[in-house]
Amino acid sequence: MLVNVRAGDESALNRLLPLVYDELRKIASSYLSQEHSSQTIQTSDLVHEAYLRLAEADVTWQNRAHFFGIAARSMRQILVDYARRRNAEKRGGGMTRVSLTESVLLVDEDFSRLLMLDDALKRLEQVDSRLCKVVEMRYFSGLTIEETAEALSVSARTVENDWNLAKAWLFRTMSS
Amino acid sequence: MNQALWHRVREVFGEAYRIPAANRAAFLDKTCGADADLRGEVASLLAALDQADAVFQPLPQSLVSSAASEIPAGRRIGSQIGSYRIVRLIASGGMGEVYEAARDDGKFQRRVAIKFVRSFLSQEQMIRRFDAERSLLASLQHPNIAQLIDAGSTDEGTPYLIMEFVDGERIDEYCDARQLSIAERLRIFQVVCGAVRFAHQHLVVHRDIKAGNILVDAGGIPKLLDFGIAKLLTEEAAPGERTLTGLGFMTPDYASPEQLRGEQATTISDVYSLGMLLYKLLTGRRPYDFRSSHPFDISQAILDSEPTRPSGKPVAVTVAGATPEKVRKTLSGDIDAIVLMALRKEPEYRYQSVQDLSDDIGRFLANRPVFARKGEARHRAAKFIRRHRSASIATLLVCLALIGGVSGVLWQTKQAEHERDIAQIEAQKAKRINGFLRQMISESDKNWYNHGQGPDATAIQILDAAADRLENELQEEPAVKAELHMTIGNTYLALGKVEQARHHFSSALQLRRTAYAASTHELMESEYYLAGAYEHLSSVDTSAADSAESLFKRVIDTLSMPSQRGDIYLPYAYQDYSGLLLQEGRIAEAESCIVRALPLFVDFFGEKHIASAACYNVLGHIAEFSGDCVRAEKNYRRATSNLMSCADRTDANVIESMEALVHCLISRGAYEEADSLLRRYSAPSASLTPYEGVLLARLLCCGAWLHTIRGELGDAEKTVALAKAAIRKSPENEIRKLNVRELIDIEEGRLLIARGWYSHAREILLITRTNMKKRLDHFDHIAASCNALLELIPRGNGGARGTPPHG
Repeated sequence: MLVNVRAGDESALNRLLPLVYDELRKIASSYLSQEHSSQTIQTSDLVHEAYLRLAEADVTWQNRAHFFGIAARSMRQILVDYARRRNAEKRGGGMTRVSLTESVLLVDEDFSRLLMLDDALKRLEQVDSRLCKVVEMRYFSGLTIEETAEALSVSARTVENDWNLAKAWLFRTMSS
Repeated sequence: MNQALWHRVREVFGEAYRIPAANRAAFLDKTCGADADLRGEVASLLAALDQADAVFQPLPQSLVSSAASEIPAGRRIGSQIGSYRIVRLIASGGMGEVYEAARDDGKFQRRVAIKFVRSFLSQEQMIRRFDAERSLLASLQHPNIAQLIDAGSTDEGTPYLIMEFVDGERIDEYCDARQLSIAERLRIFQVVCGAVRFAHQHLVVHRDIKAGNILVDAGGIPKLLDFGIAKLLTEEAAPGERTLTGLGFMTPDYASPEQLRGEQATTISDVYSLGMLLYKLLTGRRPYDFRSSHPFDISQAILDSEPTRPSGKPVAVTVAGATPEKVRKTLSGDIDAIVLMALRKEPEYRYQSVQDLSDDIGRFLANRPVFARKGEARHRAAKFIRRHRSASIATLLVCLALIGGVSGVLWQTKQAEHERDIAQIEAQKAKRINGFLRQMISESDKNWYNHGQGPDATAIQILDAAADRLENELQEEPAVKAELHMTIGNTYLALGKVEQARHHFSSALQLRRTAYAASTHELMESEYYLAGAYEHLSSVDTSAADSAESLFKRVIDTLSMPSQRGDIYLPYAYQDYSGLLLQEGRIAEAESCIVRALPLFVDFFGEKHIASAACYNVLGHIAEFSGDCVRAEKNYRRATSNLMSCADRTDANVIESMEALVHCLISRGAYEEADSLLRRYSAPSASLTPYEGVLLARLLCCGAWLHTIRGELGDAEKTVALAKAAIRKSPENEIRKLNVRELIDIEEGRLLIARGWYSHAREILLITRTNMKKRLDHFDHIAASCNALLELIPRGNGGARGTPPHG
């Protein structure tokens, strides 16, 4: 299956997504289990660990781009799904102003902003899919400029340009 | 916006945003010229950029954690799986979760490890596989293998495995924490090899040997975890196809190149992983430099770069009383050669079995030249050891024997490096052989899954199919064909199909004599094996003994010529010929052969080797035949103690020499020692091969004898029954050759006499004596036993139950 992904087969990617998604979720949950409760988790930790685990399952991966692409997309999806659920709960319950999770307050604003960003990204993808990928990798997966460049097989300068252009484009879209 | 315009926007923006804001307008004027759309778009984006950082406020960490925390690990604690209650989480990871569980039914407690697995396979596939493999894995009963107790799936469909719980430390950490010496590390490694070899004999390839899968308990006993589990969890390539997720949950740094390429894992892949483990145990390092710890880089290194030799870099292990530099010196030379041979990228150039690897380490420990560094003669020796062993373990399975058959050719190829042409021809030949065998094996694997047949049935069927095919194939390549005949013959021999084996050895010999210019070594190999097959048949076919004798003589004569010096078939031919002579009661001749074999074996392998130990055993038999019980006992003791220091001994070896010694001891009234030896050799595993069953039955006869002598008649009766059960599956020729039925009859007779059932005893003993007389007359010691027992029966006291006689 992963070989097909490398060949750019979109349907293979779709089949792979749940796998990565699931893995990310599991890794995060193991961080929250008793042994790890004192630790916090960064999106980049999550993605790197998921890569190590999933890539173990198939070393026919020729490079990391496909994985990071998928992982970044999964991270985005995980966060957006969560935000959407919490929003729905809020509307349903009407009362919940903040969610108490792990003793940290999450505000509704976080969720709304995330959902808006997701909508804007969907539109950006229509215009320039690489920009969308860069945002997913940088923002949702926490990859550095260099890592993103390596994953996408482009120069760091190109990633920098894309990153700034995407930011500007998204801001303009979201504030209009 | 059209694509062309967007491209321009991207291009201009990329330049413009890097320029100080004040200069941007001038830049845009110059760059965009009259293109108002372009200029407008870029300018708008540049304006947005100043505030755009607001878009990407850092994601709150708690959001990440919460979003992802839907299935907390360890959620199964407290739940019940079958009769086990889950107590704590041991580990969790990509492969799933492992828990410790306990069973407490009031009477006894049992701790187990339960592994809930995640797999890329569908649930259906998993269940099918589990069903196919479960009984096989559960039959792997070995002191150094954590046993699979059960497998199943939860209500929600998650498959799980219940395994023996091992309370121990990772083997590498264990070695370092105790600052074990290199020799101690090698010995513990040999124990691990023994377990892997045992599994290989039962057709199970581990596929995931690594330090983390081997725990050493407080008593210093290593145990291998997860045997064969990798196969359950990963996709297997169909023949000729490469698997996409072949590695499953493998840790890539221990996986062999062929596994990384997605090819089928074989016993020789385990040899590679053992090489990696050995490297780690001895140096604390890995043999490759990885660019990063990403699996991709790791695989690249394993596939493309040459491993550094163990002594090539400073070591990172702690050894009591030795500086790292001293450790490094110890490793340089022989150990370097051994480890690198296990780590060869091409399976064909590696040790061809775990046994070979372990043997070589044994040689190093005994200060003998190691195979990995030796010349042609050593190569032949290892090739032979492997074959000989396959002949002596009756259920050594097809997989092993087939794959094993090819190696010698390639090793010889390595040797012939200066003769390029020969090397290429040989390599070509080996490739053809490998191809043929691999295909047979993968078909066997497939059939096995499809029909759920037992391993033995499949082994024979596959072998028959291979044999049939071979008859009509490879006509234009007689050398390859002859080699395959030898391999198939050996495998038949291992499976107890002696007549088929004879046929194939004979075909090989025919080809080597007539169809091409075979070397003397090859000719002698075929003659030796053919002789061996005849010898096996001699108990059921009297003319076979003559054929065997003339062949053995010819091998001995040929290989005794100075030009053939150093050929390992010479001592083996002496040894086997001596066995034949002994069987015929030609004791003086037998002795002269065995005393020639012994020094040659010692020269090849050292004292503490199976072959040398076997010579002492034969010397013991000879002494016993000549009535010299003191000398017999001395030789048996030597055989037994040498054997006990061979890491690679088999059950068959131990039972055989133990039986001889125990028999001796009981004969001279040393009941206490006999008893303690019988007890120390704890009940044999259920997985004895049919051949081992024959030997075990003999040992059990000794046990029954001792019980009867001590008046423990109930135990004696049970032991006789066990002896009968032990040979139930054994081949007739082996049973006859070792007179097992007669020995059982004698013990039964002895027991009946002790119980006073005289007429029944007399009947059995008379029949046995008559049977023995019909056979070759040199078994008079059995007839003599019958006579001695018959003497004990009071005359005129036919059927009445009398008082059991004493003594």
